Amino acid sequence: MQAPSLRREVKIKVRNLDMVYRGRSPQRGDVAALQQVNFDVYENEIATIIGPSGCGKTTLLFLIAGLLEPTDGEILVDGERVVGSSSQRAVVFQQDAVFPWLTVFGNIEYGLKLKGTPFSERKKIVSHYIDLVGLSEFEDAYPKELSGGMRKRVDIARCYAINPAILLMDEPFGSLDVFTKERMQKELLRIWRTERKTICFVTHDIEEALFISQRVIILSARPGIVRRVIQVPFSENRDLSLRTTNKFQELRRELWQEIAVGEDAHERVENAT
Amino acid sequence: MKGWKMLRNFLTLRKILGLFSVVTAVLVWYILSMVVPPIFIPGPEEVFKGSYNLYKPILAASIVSTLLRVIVGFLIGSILGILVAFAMAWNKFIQWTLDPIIELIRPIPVIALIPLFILWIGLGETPRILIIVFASFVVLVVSTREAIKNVPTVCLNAARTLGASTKGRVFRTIILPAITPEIIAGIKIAAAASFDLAAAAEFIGAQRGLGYIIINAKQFLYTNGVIFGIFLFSLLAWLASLLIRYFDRRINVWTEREAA
Repeated sequence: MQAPSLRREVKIKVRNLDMVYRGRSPQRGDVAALQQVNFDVYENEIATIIGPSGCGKTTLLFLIAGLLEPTDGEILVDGERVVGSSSQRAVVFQQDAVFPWLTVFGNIEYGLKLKGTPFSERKKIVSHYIDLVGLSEFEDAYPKELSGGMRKRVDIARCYAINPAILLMDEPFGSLDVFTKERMQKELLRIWRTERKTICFVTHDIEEALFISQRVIILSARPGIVRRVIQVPFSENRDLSLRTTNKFQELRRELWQEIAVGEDAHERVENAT
Repeated sequence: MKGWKMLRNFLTLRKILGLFSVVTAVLVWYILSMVVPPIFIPGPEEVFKGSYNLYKPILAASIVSTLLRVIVGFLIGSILGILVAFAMAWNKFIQWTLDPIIELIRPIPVIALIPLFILWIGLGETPRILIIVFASFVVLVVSTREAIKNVPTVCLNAARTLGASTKGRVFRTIILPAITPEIIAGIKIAAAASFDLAAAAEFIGAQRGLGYIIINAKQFLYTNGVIFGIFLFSLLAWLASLLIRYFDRRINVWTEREAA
C-alpha cells in the first residue's frame, strides 16, 4: 500500500530556513548550519530527517520545537509561525530527559499538571498512556529503577499525554543497544498506529529511517540542505523481518549512496579549497 | 531455630567489627588513663561521672544556649544563602553584581573574622551568631549556585516543550526539585561548620554554653570538664547530622546513591 501523502494535509511547513551560528570570536568565524531548507511534513505521518553527523539535523529539530530561533526563513505548524517553545511541539530528546525526581506516573503527569488538568482526568490520561507504552507495573517506580529503553517509553508517554500537535524526536534511540533499539522502533510504530500523530524523527541510522517512516528527508553535510526526499513504499504494519527483504536492502543501498556520495563530494570540495 | 536466624541476621560481621573497634577504643582509653597522669588523660568514669556531677546545675542551660546560637545562626545563614543563589540564577544582573563579591568572601577563614566582628559590635551574642550566619551563608550560596548551574540543559528544554512556559514554572517544577540533594549536602556541611564556629565563638567571652564549659575547665586545669565539653559538642553535632540524614532519606528517595 502506497502512502497517499499527496492528498494529506501539510502539518509542518519549513520555508527557506537559514541557520547561522555566530562565531564567538572573529578568528572562529560564523558556522552555517542550515541553508535554504524547504520541506513539508504531512499530517499523521512519520517523517525522518537523515544526514551525516554535523549536518544540522538536531539544529533543525530544535528550530521546529522553537528552542532555537532561525537566522532567516520560517517554520509553520498548522499554518502558524513557530515562535518560542510550546507544549504543542513536544520533544523526545537524544539524552535521557526523564525527570529523575518524579516517578513514572509523576513524569507522565508533568505536562498535564502544568496545563491545569484536574486530577481525576489526569489520572485517567496518565494510566492510559502508561498502559499504551507497557509500563503499568512501574507506575510508582523512579527512573533510576528503569532500564534505558523503559525510560524512553516514559519519555514518549509523557509527550503523548499532553496531546501535542506534533511530536519531535531527536535520535531518541541512539543511546540504546541494538536489540532494545529495534524493539523500541517496533514499539513506536505500534503506539503510532494506535494513536496517530505527526512525528518528525531525526536519525543518522538508515535502517531506522526506512523502518519507521513514510518519508525520508535527506540532508547534505554542513551547511545542511535538503538533498532528496524519498517515499518509503512499505505498508504501515511493519515487522522486523522487513529488514531482510530485497526491497528494503535496495532502498537501504540507495539511501546509503545518497548520503555517502554526498559526504565524499563534500570532502573533495573541502580538500580542494 | 527462628530465634537463631534472627540473631544471625542482626549480628552481621560488619556490626561485630564495628562494635569491636568501639570497645577497643574505650579499652585503650581506659588503660592509658591508668598509666598517664589524670591531668592529661583522665579515665572515662571520671570524665562522665565527675563532670556530670559538677556541671549538673548549668548543663541544660549550656546546651540550650549553644544550640540556640547554632540553630539561629545556621537557619538565618542558610536561608539567606539559598535565597541569594536563587536570585542570582533568576536575574543575570544580580548574578553579575554578586558573583565577584561571593568569590571574594568565599576563601575567608571564618574564624579569622571573630576578632573583627567583636571589634565592630563588641562582645555579646550578636558577633557569635553573626559568625555562624556568615559561614552557613557562604556554604549554601556556593553549593546552591553550583547546583543550579549543573541542572542538565536537557531537563530544562524538556520542561519548556512540555509547557513550562514561564521562568517561575521552570524554577518551581525543575530547578528546585533537581537541586534538593545538593542543597541538603550543603546543609550538612553548614550544620557541621556551625558547631565548629559556636565552639570557637564561645571561647571568647561567652558566659554560657558548651564552649564556656570547656574554656572554664581548662582555666582550672580540669581536664575532665574539657573532654566532657568536647563530648557534648560532638554528641549534639552527631544528633544534628542524624536529623538531617533522616530528612535527606525521606526527601531524596530518587537519587542514584548506593544504600550505605
